[in-house]
This record gives sequence, structure tokens and C-alpha cells, in this order.
Amino acid sequence: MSARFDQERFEELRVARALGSLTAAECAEFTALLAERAGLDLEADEIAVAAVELASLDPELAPLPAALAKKLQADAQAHFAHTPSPLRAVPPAPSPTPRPASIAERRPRAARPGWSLVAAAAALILAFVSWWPRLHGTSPEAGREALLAKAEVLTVPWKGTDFAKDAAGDVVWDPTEQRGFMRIRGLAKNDPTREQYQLWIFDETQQHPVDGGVFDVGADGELVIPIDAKLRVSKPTLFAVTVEKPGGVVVSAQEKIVLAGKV
Amino acid sequence: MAQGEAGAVQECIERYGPLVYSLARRFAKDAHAIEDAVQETFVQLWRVAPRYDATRCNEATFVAMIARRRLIDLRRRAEKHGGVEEIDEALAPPTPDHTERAAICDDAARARTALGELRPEQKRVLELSIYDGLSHQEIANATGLPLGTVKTHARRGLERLRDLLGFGRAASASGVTS
Repeated sequence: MSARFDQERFEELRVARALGSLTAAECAEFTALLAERAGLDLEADEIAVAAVELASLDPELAPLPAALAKKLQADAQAHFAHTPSPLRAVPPAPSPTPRPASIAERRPRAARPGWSLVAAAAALILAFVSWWPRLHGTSPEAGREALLAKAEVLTVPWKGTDFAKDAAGDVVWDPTEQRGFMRIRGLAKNDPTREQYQLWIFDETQQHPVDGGVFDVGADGELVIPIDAKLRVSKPTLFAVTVEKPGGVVVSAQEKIVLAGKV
Repeated sequence: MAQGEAGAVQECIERYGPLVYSLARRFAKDAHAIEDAVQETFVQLWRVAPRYDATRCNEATFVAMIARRRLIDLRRRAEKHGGVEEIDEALAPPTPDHTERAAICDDAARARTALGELRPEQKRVLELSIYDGLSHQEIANATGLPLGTVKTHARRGLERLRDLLGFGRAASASGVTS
């Protein structure tokens, strides 16, 4: 295939991706083509599409059901209790301002507290509600236990490499629901401003390993972390954790593999 | 103090919960699917919040972008399991015209203006794709345009939108990791 054909196909897939119309096969094709094109700003397309989506919404939005709001609170507390590091790296926020009636009425961008508002919440929520996820059964641990109760899940033990000889744990993966959890012990704490851990899932049907999500180790003891596979995983053959730059990478050079689990 | 910071997360949920909920209701009809979508979107938001760049877009646009990613994933999963209703073209609502209505944020207002500057066929293709969730092939079927023409309109329209809105960032790392 010519370079020009490749580029035209890439642009076609890039637009389809931003519009949300890629098929699973096209996702894999796009990932392969993307690997040859470092440094592209794919988010610009997505942001433009999101702005168009917002343009059609009535500013008087449907109210969030109270029960769902409570679930979101519980989810947030569970999340920050277990994976607080990335948010802790963000500077503290100014004092919150009175809650507006709608998004449209809010102050101009420059004067807003921004995402630091959420970041500030993370650190203290860690200590404040560490008991909450267990109470509500929405923690990763509870999710892992629930997944293990299913018959068709895959369980793969971790093996630490020379970079992390004492690390251990396992992966639980549900190929039907395409979700899973990593349980990890003995992995060194990381400084998320310098490096982060990233999970990779090797799949027979994918040309490149599938990104399973970036995570941090900020506490001793056992961690249970949800897997966030970016593409469909049909036939997993190997799970691996690498050390990457903050935010993770699209394609890993696999220079520092710390955990591996062969299916 | 702890109460105040926990309240900050609550404020974020109260501020953007209705937005994500409204978007989720566009993608799914089933109440459980909508709830799942909103919950998954917020978990993802907590993960990627530190990457938000206020110089690039409004918070609401960032939230909508993350929501769309999760909702598209969920739609793919639902399609695989046969859980998505086929759109009945005869019953599908017309593409909304909100030109006179207030916008949710500055980005949305600018996007509305930018849409108006596109060629009519580009605007139509993008609206069918973004608002109605149609694939390129479905748009071709619905409009009678050749598939290649639909793809060209989508591509040129999106490129023009991106330029008009100025959301690009030079030499940025890819955003596909989130």
C-alpha cells in the first residue's frame, strides 16, 4: 500500500474515531496506523465534536436523579480511596464559589476554580471516607469479588520481573463483559509526576498490545485496580505492566516491564 | 475542612451530573444503561481530571468529550449484544435547530456559529453523525449520498470546524490514552 493511501485511510479513520463510528476492526486498524504517527493531537477533533454536541443541548438540563447522584458520590469516594495519586499532584484549589443554577450562568473561564476543585477534594477524601466503599459494596475489591463469582472469568497470576522481584498478585478478566481487575502486591510506589504504571493486554487479534489503563501505587499493601481496556480484547495471551511517562503512552517501548502474567 | 473538600466533589457532580446525564439519555433509552453510562463517565473523569487544560476548552466541553468516549464505548458494547434500538428514520426527530437558544458554554456558542459557516452538506453530515449517532454508511443510506461523498463531507467539515474553533494544540501528545 502506498504512503498516500495509508494517509488517506488514516484521516478517514481519524474522523470516524472522533465521530464515534469506528468499528472494532477499524479501531485495530487505526491503532496500527497511529503507531507510525507520533505526536498527533487527536483530542482537537474530539473537543470540536464535543462542543458541537453541547451546542444542541438546552442549558436547562435534565436534573440528575438523587439516587444516581448518591451513587456517583460513592463511586468518587471509592475511586479516591484507592487511586488518589494523580489528583494529589494537582495544586490546591481556591475556595469553592456558590453553586450556579446552570452551567450557562457560570463565571468566565479565567475566574473559575476549575479542575483543581476536584483535585483538592481527592486528598482528604482518601482519609475521610476510606470506610465508605466497603459499606456500599462499590469498591474495586467488591467488584473483583463479584467478577470472580462468574464462571467464565479468566484468572492469571502476576509474576514480578527483575525490576520488581517481590511483586505479585493476579488479573481477573471477564471476556464477555470486557472488564476486569488487577490485584497487586509488592510493587514500588511511584511518583506520578515522573512516571506511572501502565497495563497492557496482548491479544492474538490485535497487532499491538491493548492499553489497559494508567495507574499509580501510592500505598503499601494490596491494591485492586480496575482494568480500562481501550480496545476490545478477544483472545488475551499476556497481561503486562510497564513503567511509562506520566499519562502513559500509546505504544510502549516495553523498556521496563515490572509484571507479567501469561494466559 | 474535610467536609468542605468532600463538598467540592459533590459540587462537581452537581454541576456536571445533569450534563452527563443528559448526554447519556441521548445514547441510551434503558434507565440502567443510562445510570451505568453516567457512573462510568464520572469514574473516568476522576481519572483524567488532572489532564484538563483550561486554556484549551471549557470544563463543560472537556466533560462532554470524556462522556462521549464512554458513551461510544457503551454503545459499541450494547450493539454487540443487540441492545441498541435501530433508528427508525421516519420516527427520528429532525436535527435540532437551537440557533436562538442560549448556549451551555462559550465553546458551545462558538460551535453553533462555526456549524453555520460550514457548507450545508458538511453541516448536515456532521449533525446526523453527532446528534443522531449515525455511521457514515447509515448517513449514506438516509441521504442518498454516495458513501465516499459522506466521508469527504465529514472529513472536510470536521477539519473546518477544528480550524474555526481553534482547539488544536501544536506538537501535542496523543490524547488516545485516556
